[in-house]
Amino acid sequence: MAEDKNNVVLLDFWPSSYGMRVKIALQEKGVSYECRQEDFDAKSSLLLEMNPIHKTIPVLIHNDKPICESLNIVEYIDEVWSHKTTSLLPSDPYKRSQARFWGNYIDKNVYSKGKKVWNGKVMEEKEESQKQFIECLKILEEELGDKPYFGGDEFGYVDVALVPFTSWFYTYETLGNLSIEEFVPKLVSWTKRCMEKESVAKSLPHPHKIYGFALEYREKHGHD
Amino acid sequence: MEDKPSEVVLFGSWYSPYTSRVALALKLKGIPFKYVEENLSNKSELLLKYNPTHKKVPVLLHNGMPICESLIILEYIDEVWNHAPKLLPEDPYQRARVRFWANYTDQKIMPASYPILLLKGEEKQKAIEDMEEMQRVLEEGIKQDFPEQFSFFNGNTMGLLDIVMGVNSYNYKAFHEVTNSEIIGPKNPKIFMWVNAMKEHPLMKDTLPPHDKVVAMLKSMIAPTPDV
Repeated sequence: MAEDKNNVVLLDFWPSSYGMRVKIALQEKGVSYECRQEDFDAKSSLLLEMNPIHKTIPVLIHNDKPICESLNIVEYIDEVWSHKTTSLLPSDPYKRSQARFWGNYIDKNVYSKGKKVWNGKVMEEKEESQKQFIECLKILEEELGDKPYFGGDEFGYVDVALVPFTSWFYTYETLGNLSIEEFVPKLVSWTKRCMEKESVAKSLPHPHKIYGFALEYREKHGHD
Repeated sequence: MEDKPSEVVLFGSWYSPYTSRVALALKLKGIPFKYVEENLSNKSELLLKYNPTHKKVPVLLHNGMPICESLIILEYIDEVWNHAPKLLPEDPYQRARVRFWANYTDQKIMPASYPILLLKGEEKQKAIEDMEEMQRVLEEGIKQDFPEQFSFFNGNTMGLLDIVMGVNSYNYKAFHEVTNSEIIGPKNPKIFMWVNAMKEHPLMKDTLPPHDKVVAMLKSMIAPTPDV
């Protein structure tokens, strides 16, 4: 039975790493969906209706019901379309708990520390921001170890959680004046491996596009 | 003597609601466990070994393997000991809403109590108003998402959201007394009724610290204890 594309709608903002997570998950499961871009200066009435609490993207609307918060959405997709391809989350409860732990760690650290690197305003804090960001990536690289993916042999939940931020690496490096590969070469290899997957390649914007967005954002928000 | 690997150990702190959540879940499921009280100003080597990333309680140790972060631990418990009572609903959409409100509590409501405790005057008043608004949002949201299941009393079992909400609000009277506020009250009738019903659950009384101990702890957070 063909799925009605209109049953699955994603409210997105294209530079958002959180939105990219959902796109990757939907692609992995082969789910057709309609993607609607939100303008943060003029949020649509649909977004405000579907996520009145946080008013943020991504929001997945499935059969008119909203699911918010990207990792929540990824779990939901994994549960609802469990019959399609392999699971994003492992089946073993302990491994699931570890995957969720690292998803949570990525949520708490990567975006906020990364933003201080590309959008940091105070020169004195720049070195500290860089140090903290690299430290966070090193912790993640240690978790990856010698595995091809965070999920082991298979691309999974933690890979989905982290890989979108790699579209921002060029921006972090250029605006933050640092070389990520120098500090976390294994993580950079992992990035290239992930980009060979169709779901990832199709869901991540080109790093130069992200860079252009970051420059516009800085100008708009009064960066030196 | 070494602990048996299949033993369940909970590293926690008596005044940490995150710890109490896990203790309550284990008791609800009838899982025997050993409890280790951590001194958070002098963390044990075991805690630092089992939670090197965050160095926090609670940590659940099962089969010698650590699980950290209270909400993640609750889901782990529900999956491993998947007998009744189930902590999460079966339906994926309902599960997503439970997770949403649990995250809302952790990201918004839990941190909001500190400004009320620590600030004074107008800033404190603003913090109280912010918290009241969050409680209102929570009440409206839960009413909408779980219309027939709002109050888990009358013989119904406690689920993840009850554990999170119930533990957080159990000693609301102590919080009100110390901060001279009324966060949980008839203004949010459904939550008020729900919290009061949960307070009566025997496992809650068995798990949560008593009023006077919490009052003393909250007071010590406002006024640092003098050097002795």
